Amino acid sequence: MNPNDAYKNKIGERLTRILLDALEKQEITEDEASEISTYILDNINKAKDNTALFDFLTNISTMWPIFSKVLAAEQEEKLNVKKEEAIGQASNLIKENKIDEAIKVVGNATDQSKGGI
Amino acid sequence: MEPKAAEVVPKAIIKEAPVAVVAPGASKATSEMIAKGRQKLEEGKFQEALKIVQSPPIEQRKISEKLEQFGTARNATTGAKELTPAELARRTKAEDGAKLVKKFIEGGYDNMDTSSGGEQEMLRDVFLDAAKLRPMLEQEMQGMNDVQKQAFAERYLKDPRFSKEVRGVFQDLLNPEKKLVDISKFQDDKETADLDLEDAKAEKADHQRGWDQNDLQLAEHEARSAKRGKPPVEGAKYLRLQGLTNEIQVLRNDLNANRTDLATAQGDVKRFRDELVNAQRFASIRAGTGTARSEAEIKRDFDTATLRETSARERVSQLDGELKTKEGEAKIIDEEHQTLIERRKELDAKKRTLERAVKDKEREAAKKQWALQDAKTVREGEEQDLSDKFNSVFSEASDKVLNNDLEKANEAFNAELEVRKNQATDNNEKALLDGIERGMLVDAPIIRKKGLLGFRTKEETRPMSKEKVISYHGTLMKNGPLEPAVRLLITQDNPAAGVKGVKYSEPEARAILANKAFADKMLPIVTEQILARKMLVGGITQEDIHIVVNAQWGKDMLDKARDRNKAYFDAVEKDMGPGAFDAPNFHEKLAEKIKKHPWWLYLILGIPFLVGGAAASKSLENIGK
Repeated sequence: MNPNDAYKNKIGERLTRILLDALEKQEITEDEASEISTYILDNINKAKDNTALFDFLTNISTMWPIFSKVLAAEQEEKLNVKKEEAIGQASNLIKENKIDEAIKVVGNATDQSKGGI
Repeated sequence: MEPKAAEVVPKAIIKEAPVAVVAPGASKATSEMIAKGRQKLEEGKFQEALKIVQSPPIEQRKISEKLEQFGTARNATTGAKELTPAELARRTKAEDGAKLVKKFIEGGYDNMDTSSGGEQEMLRDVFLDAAKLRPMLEQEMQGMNDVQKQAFAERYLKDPRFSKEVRGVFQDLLNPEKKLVDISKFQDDKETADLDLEDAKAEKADHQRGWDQNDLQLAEHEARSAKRGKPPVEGAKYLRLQGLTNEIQVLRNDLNANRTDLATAQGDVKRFRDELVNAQRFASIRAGTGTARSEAEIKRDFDTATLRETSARERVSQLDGELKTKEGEAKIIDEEHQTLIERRKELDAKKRTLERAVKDKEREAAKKQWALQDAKTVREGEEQDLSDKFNSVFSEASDKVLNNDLEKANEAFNAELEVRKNQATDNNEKALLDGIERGMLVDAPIIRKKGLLGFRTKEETRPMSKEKVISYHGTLMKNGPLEPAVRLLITQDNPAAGVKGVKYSEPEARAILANKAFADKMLPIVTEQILARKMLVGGITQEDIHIVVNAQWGKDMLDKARDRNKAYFDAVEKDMGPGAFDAPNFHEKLAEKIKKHPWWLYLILGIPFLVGGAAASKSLENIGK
């Protein structure tokens, strides 16, 4: 399984779970669930990379707001990954005694977290 | 690479989320579907879970509710429907149809009975019947053997689009908002009208009894009159009363006669009294004289006269009494008679009113009966339609999916021309493309009225002309693409002339098409467009296929299709084996195959019909590249 497939499956599973929950709680009708299922099946495999998959997630959240919490969770996870990457990068720079650059990296990551991803 | 922690942890969290309890309103079928979906999801097969949700089961409750609409009469005690034999037959037919559709929706074509004359065969026949109605497909189907027809039908019947159409048609049919005409109101109206009529008739009957009573009383009066006087000749009521009057007159005459007698008797008494007085005086003066009547004689005559007077007086008194009695009686009878006659007049007037009211109510009841009968007829028709619709779901779905493909085919080829025109920089190219686009349409636009009455607008359309398409196609088959290209170009204004309405001359058109670069670019387009339009209006014959696969322009088209149409490529390799395109004598072998599989031409031309296991499609992305 390549990383794209893992990400696609993760998104797909989350969307499907939300869909089943919503159907169970009668927040959506069977017809709507059918329509949403068709949309997911038709589009999730068209995404060629993770960015396109994220775009797909953004689109489906706009069309059916029940999925907005999946989008929010993804946005937060993406941000956390960037933060971890920034921390790792800053640690390496500090080890190399590049303090100013480390501060800059941390500063950029902080700005991004304030302004979103 | 393993998923990152950030990808796995939230997934684990979500997996640990409590399983939601099925909401009270969810049906059993929905609950089962959700459970199946969750199971697939837990197995890591989210796409299969989505497919389950994509095709939700049809709730039996909805079908039952719809079937419950059949019939109108209900058992007075239980309230259950009581169907007539005709209603029961319609309902049973509908129920059988519904079972079949539900089975198809939930299990697909492969789940249907495969036996000879079974469900699968029925489905194929329904689809092929619908396909035969399309000129584009009719001729293709004539060239197919039974196996090919079966394969053609099954490609559609197994396609998810078909299932989706079946589901859509069926759900529309089950729509609870769509009701049959309710005849209970008409029945109520009819019953009310019948009750009103009964009331009116009862009132009339009551009145008739009063009238009869009056008539009887009148008859009795007449009878009494007849008894009292001289009976009337014909028993007429008035004459009977007149009889009583005559009787009174007789009494009056008798009374007068007796009064005369009385007067006479009274005169006699007076005279005898005078004589008696004279006789007594004379006797005292001349006693013993023998010439005059004696006093005793006078006294006897006097007594006799007195008796007569008394008798006459009594008779007068008696007659007078009788007369008064008769006159009183006559008066009473006369008054009673008058009262009865007046009453008769009133009763007659009311009788007419009541008779009119009964007639009105009878008319009203008849109208309500007709309205009820009409409503029943409409209802029967609607029930029959509903029953038929349960058995025409597959046919309707076939129509929809085929119409959709036909529409897409038309749109695809027109869209291709539009893209090419937009890309064209050469005026002659544009002119030829215009020629293709408009040269095969009918000359005069067809005007259609759209919209509601009173708000209608006219819409002009110019559909394809079958005659023109056949003519251009004939030229293509006979002479290749150059000749129809010349014919199409000369239908257009020549931009080089600079004057509107001045068409290309034939030499000008031939000169333009003599340019190799122009011809290489445009003649394949002319070929494809003419062939595609021919297929859309009436199909391609075996002879046409022979020409296409043997003529160089045809071979060029087939080679080009190999590179640009994957569905065609796949179909050929699947049927003829990998590397078939590069095998020796490919075109000859292909010719034989296309004769066996005429629908490959759809793939070659990119007509979006289900022809090779997958829908062909016209991709506009690579046009011009």
